[in-house]
Amino acid sequence: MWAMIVRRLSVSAISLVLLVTLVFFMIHATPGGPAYSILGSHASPQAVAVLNRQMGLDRPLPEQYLIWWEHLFEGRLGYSYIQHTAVSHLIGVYLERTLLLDLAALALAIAVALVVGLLQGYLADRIGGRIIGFLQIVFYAMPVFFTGILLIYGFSMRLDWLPPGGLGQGLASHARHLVLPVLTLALPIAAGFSRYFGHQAREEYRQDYVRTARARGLSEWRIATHHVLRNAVRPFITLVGMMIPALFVGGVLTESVFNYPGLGWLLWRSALDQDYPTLSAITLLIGVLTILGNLIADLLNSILDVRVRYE
Amino acid sequence: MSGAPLVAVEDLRVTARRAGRTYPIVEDVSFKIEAGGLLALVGESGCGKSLTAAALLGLLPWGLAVDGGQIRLEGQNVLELTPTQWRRLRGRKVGAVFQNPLAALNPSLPIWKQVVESAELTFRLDRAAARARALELLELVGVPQAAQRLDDYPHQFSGGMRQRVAIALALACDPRLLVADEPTTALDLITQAEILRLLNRLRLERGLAVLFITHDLSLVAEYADQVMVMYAGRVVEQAEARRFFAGPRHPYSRALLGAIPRLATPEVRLTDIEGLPPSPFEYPPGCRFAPRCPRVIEPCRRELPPPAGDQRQRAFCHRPFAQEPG
Repeated sequence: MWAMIVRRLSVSAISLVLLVTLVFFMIHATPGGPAYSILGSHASPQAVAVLNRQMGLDRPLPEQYLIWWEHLFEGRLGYSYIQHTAVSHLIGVYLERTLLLDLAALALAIAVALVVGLLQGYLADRIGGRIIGFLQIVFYAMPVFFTGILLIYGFSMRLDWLPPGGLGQGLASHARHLVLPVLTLALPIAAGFSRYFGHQAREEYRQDYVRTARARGLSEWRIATHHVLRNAVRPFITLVGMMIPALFVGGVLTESVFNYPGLGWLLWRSALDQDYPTLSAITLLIGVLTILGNLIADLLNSILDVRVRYE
Repeated sequence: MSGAPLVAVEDLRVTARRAGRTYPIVEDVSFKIEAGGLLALVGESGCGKSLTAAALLGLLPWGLAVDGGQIRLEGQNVLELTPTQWRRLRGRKVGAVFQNPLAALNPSLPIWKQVVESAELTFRLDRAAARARALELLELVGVPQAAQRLDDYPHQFSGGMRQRVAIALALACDPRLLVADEPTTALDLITQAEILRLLNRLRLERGLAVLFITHDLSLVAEYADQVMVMYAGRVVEQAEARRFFAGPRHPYSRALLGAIPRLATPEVRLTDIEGLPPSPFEYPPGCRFAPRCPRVIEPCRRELPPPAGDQRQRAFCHRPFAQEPG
């Protein structure tokens, strides 16, 4: 098992190095280089040269690459000339809000997927199972901005139960502000997750051990929670790990629909403003979160899957 | 024979609904098994033997239902029970083992947990008691070094051992009847014989009644005390095993026995049966075996065959073979 963990960790480490390198070259591939995007495209060559010297952009590329690593280790992600703050500070503020939104949506989507998926696996081709399958496609296909606007129209404008967007003050208000964005973000993800997990659960329900369990008089609840879930959940964990970037992308749209100042909103703003230091830092962060998500999913799987553990 | 039999099935009828119509899949199946008895239910694939077993367990696949008859377990008609009441009887009164031992166990639970799961829930055993019971059950079914194997997972066992474990699972709550649906079909010959000897020992030592379903008559010749042959959803012959093997009276039973290779008499050609069994959705009127029967006479195609013979050997045939003395 330890060998497996070490192997898995080194894969993550290699991915991380590749990611950092890729983002480095991405920055240098921007048209005109960073100086132009900071000073504007009509900047005089003298001004650009001065700025390049200040930022060390006139040094050879390998040296810049090493400095890039050094800065990353020190947690220095650059300076946003648009927002006029250090990017690391910016990220810290916005990341917290995004994590709150994304993790709440993820938890909701997983919970819904497990319940709906088990039910769907149990019902299989019966009418209830088909209705679930149909709803999954509908919700999966509904774009975030559409559901978001629909929910705002219903719950904020018509019913006036929940705020249509923005950030709340204090815990209760913050929670109230989160309800609609979390629902909007979670809905298509829950539809996708439950379809995948429902398929897994259905496969498990066809296995003989389910019949054996029924023949022993175990209740359907017991069979679902102690037998089917245990076996169907492993591939699902892998999927959840892989879906973290998609979650974030959905978050970008959700945050802009609800005007929720999170990392997605920041990403959207920085892209419009051509704020490269911020953009690259966010890209880096999403990459790290993706690598981390997959790592956690795989480690969780190896703990659950005895056959992997015994290999 | 003392008192009511352990299991008594009377005129069991299983039907399928398709496009608004009901089709009988299993009809007029009646049998009794005493404590310690072993009834061999024999027939080709699709003859309704597994569905008979599933009906007995209350585990018919979705879309099929018992549509008539009675299933009495220790005198109680289980068809009158609610699904939950019937579920509570499963495991406690009836246990079951199925064909594929490789898939019968949950791959991600250690076997001791699976073996005692039903007993643990039924009798509310604590962990120590549950482990002790698991060990007892694994030793009962002859798993070697059972004490060291409690924490092993199913994939660490061979096919034959897994079938023993599956039997231990079925016996966890001390059922009186074991339904064994082709439990040896997926196993090699030597393991088949071992599993059969185990089942035989269990019925002799513990008075366990066994409904043994198989397509292989030669397998049960040694141990069965009753034989029931099914064809296309109906019983064609039902007899005491000794009588049956002395001379089956239904042409289909004869053909089944004739299809078994015998090492002792190599010069005899194996007989096979021309054609295929009919689909449940297009059963012919009259005797269902008539289209394939070498002894077919005119009434066979029109009328359901009446029972011929006595309590000890009964063939449902218009033109049965003569009864052998036995």
